[in-house]
Amino acid sequence: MGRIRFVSGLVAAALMVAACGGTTGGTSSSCSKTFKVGQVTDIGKLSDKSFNFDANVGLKAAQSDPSLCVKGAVIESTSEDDYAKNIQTFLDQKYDMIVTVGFKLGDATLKAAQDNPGVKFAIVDYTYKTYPSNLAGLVFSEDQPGFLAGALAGLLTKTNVIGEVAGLESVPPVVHYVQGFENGAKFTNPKVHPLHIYQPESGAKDFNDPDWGKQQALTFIGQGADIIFGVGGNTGNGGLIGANEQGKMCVGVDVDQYLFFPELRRCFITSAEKLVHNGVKTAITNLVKGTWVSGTVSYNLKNNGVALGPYHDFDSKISASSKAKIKDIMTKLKDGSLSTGVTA
Amino acid sequence: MRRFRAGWLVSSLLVPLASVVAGFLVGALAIVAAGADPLQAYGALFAGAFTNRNAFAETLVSTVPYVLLGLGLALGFRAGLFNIGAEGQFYIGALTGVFVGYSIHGLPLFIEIPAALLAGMAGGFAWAAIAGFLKAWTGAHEVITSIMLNYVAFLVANYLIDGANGKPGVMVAPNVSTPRTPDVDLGAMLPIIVPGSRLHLGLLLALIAVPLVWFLIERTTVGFRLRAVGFNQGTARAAGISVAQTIVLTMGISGALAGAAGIVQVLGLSHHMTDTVAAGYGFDAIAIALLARSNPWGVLPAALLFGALHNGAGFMQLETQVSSDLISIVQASLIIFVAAPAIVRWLLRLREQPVETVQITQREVETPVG
Amino acid sequence: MRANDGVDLAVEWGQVHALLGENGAGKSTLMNVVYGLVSPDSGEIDFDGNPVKIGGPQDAIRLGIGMVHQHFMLIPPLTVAENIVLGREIASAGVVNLDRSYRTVNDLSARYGLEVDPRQRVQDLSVGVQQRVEILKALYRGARLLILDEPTAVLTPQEIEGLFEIVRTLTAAGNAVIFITHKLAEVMEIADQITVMRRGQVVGVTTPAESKPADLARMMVGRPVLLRVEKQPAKPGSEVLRVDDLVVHDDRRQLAVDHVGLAVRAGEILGIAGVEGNGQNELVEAIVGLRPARSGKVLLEGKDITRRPTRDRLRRGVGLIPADRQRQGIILELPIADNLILSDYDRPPYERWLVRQFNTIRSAAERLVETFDIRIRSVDDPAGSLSGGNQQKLVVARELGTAPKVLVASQPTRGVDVGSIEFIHRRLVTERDAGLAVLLVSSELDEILSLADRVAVLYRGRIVAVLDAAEAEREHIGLLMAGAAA
Repeated sequence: MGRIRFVSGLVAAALMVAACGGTTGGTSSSCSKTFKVGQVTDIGKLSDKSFNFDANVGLKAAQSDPSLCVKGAVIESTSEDDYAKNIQTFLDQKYDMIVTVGFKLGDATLKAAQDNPGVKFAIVDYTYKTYPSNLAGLVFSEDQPGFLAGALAGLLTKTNVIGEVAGLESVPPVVHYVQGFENGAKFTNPKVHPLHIYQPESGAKDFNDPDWGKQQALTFIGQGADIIFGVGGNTGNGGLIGANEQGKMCVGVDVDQYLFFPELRRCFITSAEKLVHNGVKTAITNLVKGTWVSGTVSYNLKNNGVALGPYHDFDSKISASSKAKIKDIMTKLKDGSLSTGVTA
Repeated sequence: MRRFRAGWLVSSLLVPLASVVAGFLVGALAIVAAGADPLQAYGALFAGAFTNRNAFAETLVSTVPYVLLGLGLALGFRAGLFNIGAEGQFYIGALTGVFVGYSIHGLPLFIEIPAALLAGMAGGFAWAAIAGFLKAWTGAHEVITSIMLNYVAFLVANYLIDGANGKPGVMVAPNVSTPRTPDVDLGAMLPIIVPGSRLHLGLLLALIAVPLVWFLIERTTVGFRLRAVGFNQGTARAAGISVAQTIVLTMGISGALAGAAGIVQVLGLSHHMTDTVAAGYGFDAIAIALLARSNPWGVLPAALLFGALHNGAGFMQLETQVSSDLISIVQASLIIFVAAPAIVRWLLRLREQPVETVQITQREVETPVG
Repeated sequence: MRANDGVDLAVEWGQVHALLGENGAGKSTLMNVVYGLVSPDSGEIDFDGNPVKIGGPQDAIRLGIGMVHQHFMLIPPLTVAENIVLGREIASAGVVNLDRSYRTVNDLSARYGLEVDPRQRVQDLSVGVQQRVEILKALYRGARLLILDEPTAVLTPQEIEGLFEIVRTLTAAGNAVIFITHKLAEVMEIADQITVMRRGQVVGVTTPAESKPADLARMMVGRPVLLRVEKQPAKPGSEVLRVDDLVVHDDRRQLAVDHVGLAVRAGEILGIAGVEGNGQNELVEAIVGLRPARSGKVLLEGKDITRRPTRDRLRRGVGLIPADRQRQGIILELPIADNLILSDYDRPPYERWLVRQFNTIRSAAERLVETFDIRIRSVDDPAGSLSGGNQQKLVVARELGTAPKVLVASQPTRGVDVGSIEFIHRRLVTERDAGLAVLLVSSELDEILSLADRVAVLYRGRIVAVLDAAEAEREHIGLLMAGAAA
């Protein structure tokens, strides 16, 4: 039933290391104070191939940075009733900061923050209307990498038809990606005709129906699409597989999917990346450096919270002028002179 | 009452205990494979389950749904019914119970709590009875139907709480940022029994349920009927017992206990329901009932063990970074040992008593009178 | 071949050696030792004059010992040939050569006169033919000494004759057969040598020529046994059970009971004779309500009970001794006491406010145990701890204990020791004399002839004749059972 907010698929091997590996790096003797940072996952656990995992990557990065003096630990929640308890376990151990992941922990995180004003809290992919001063909601501007990937797709399409195979429409990041992508494509290529479909609510198969995803991609290709954007866990990945089979181009999501799908390398022109680990690491850094920011913290191109992935095998096939155009769009999105046209 | 039977000690106590030990040993191998120290990990597990501040209270919190679910499944097993649908019955029980819980207002707690509880049990009863009906009248195996009904239950909860096609669910609370039902009325919330902890009155309910279920199975005609059907349907039928009716009733009671677990969890902890309320309790409970050898009293220690594992896992991960998934390895392997007692007997070098001994000795041979 | 302390059992080639004894006398266990299924505590086995060690069935098979168990070990969906070659398949490069398997099985069955169709599925075969398949399986594995464990228990009189033919053919070819049984008549007919066992010990070695059946029975039981049932002529009263034009289907929805009509009066025993599988089970189940009647009526004391549930029929005075006591008669895992009140468990005085009254149950059970001479240690022991005979007496005690108006007794002495048979037979006659109506269904013609007052012959679901037992001739009934026109 668990709904996956963040939309990529990563490789299981990496997860096993993350889930089972011991603590590495961390506090050196030069630290006058060690900051203890704990992460509580939702029931997707670290093996969600998604934001639980990527947030943990950020925590580990902070820990292995000698300038930060951070000791990190994670607790994976096995049921919904554990959220409050697992946060409390960290509080009992006098942790300085607690990172929680996903909307499911929204209530428990807010309550713990209110009850423990001396401890800092950061929640990934969630916002509140009002915040206590020790709580930050970390959100990511998925529309920006979506827009950039779309802009590239607009430049590369030969048929002027592109397709997006997406997860649930009720999950905002999915919609941000899709709308950003379509706006970006139209920005560089006004003649482009985008096709999109969101996966219907299907319970256990939410974000996890590659067969359906592939079917949709094939349908789009039948209507002339030559680039497929897969945005929705394994459902989106099915779209990528469909594109690859038909010898079409594809765009990955959340992470540089080129690295995780060697068999699909032929099709990736790029990936629209959301750098949850950067967001988490930044939040931890803010605490250590005494620059804590509460409230909604948006991560975007400017603060390196999202990115357009490398072109990899397509690097040589993309013209210098196209690359320059993308670079220009990136600059303008960063400085605010260009908007993706997507409202969060 | 009953005469003590030889072998009882071995099969009811020694085998489960040895299975638990063996389960922990397998878990230790996994910990070593992951590069951690099993003693340290199990030490932290124990601390997180028993000795840390509020740890024992939290272990009991986790034990409550396990006891109720374990009792339900044990009862089904005694009638030969393998109810895999406890997870779904938990959902439905939570749904019907929470609906009553948030719909009533301002009544005293001794009315609101029983009302919500009964609603939850009725929901679980009805849901499980569907699988019972299908088995009794079409022969569809309850393992298949009850497991499929789990998905239906998840989706019903999903539909009622999350909604569909962009429309919010009918049971969703207004003005919440994530889909969940409204909180139950104050009078329906189970009171906390250990101040400063989350331990709620559900513990007492679970503790009362154990002797009640034992009494039902061992001392009442209903229990006798379900055991008779569990042992031998042919004989039960020939003795005039309605097997179909018994199957439906047993599945129903089993589901009512699962439903009770669902609503107790809601009334005692979250006070509202989301679409991921159960998260595997119903499946863990299968292991608990097996470990308890379907004995209601055995459910109590088995549930406590699972509650402790569940609760201690977080602190173990915090201290040693051994994933909380490890407890699944421990649970899974101890179930293998319980399900295959021959392995444990072999490990303990216990020999099965021969069924009969026949001595063939030389004896004076009668000459036939011819 | 010799077994155990160098004495006691010596089997010679070309002979049928009967191992005679009651259930639980240790016959099967002794043979399991020979076949390697049970290891002996002491003693030795000589085969062809050499001491051998049999550590398991593989060793036994290698020596040429084959065993046909009471319960067949066949895989129903596979064909005859597949079952026979299983474990020793005729194969090339891992692929079973079916054609050659069929031919081999055909050759084998022709050689010993064991007619089977190698291509038929075992599930479609009658019990008698399945037994032939088991024998062929043993022969295919090179058996020269064949152990048959109670081989006639499941066979019809005709099938028994067929089996005896096969046994004679086998021994004529120089093989040896150990024939385990508790039936005296069979021993007299087929055995060359007889070894009698009682309580795990050999109590006599003899031949059919040297001993009369009564002697054998005395050796088996340890005391003189009455082989005939003494009874007075029946004094039938009013009609208790009536079956009108009854049609019942079997599990495969085939016609099993074909427009049967019969009536049983108080104080008489109506015997249903017939080869097993001619609709007896379906008829019995329809009478007690375990199987729906497609049409026709069942009347108890003139009241139509055709559509009533079993429970209701039992309450109105129908008693049932089912043919398969372990499947329909008792619950092995439950205490003897619970089994003795099984159909009354939810009625006072055994129940009050849904709570079972254990003291009442136990004292009622103890009374029945006493009356029916069931040998037990405690009524709290599981019924499974009882011997077959005592289990059957338990069923009889329960059914008669409720004082029924009609007793449907199906194979009431199957798999039961001589002592218990005697007891049950006497009891049925006593109850008849006290006014009980008894419908006795048995595939043992001797049982029918010695107990019944009237005999109805069931053939292919139809009653082909109803005869007065006093005038019925054994030969005539045998012909009717085999389907010869009445």
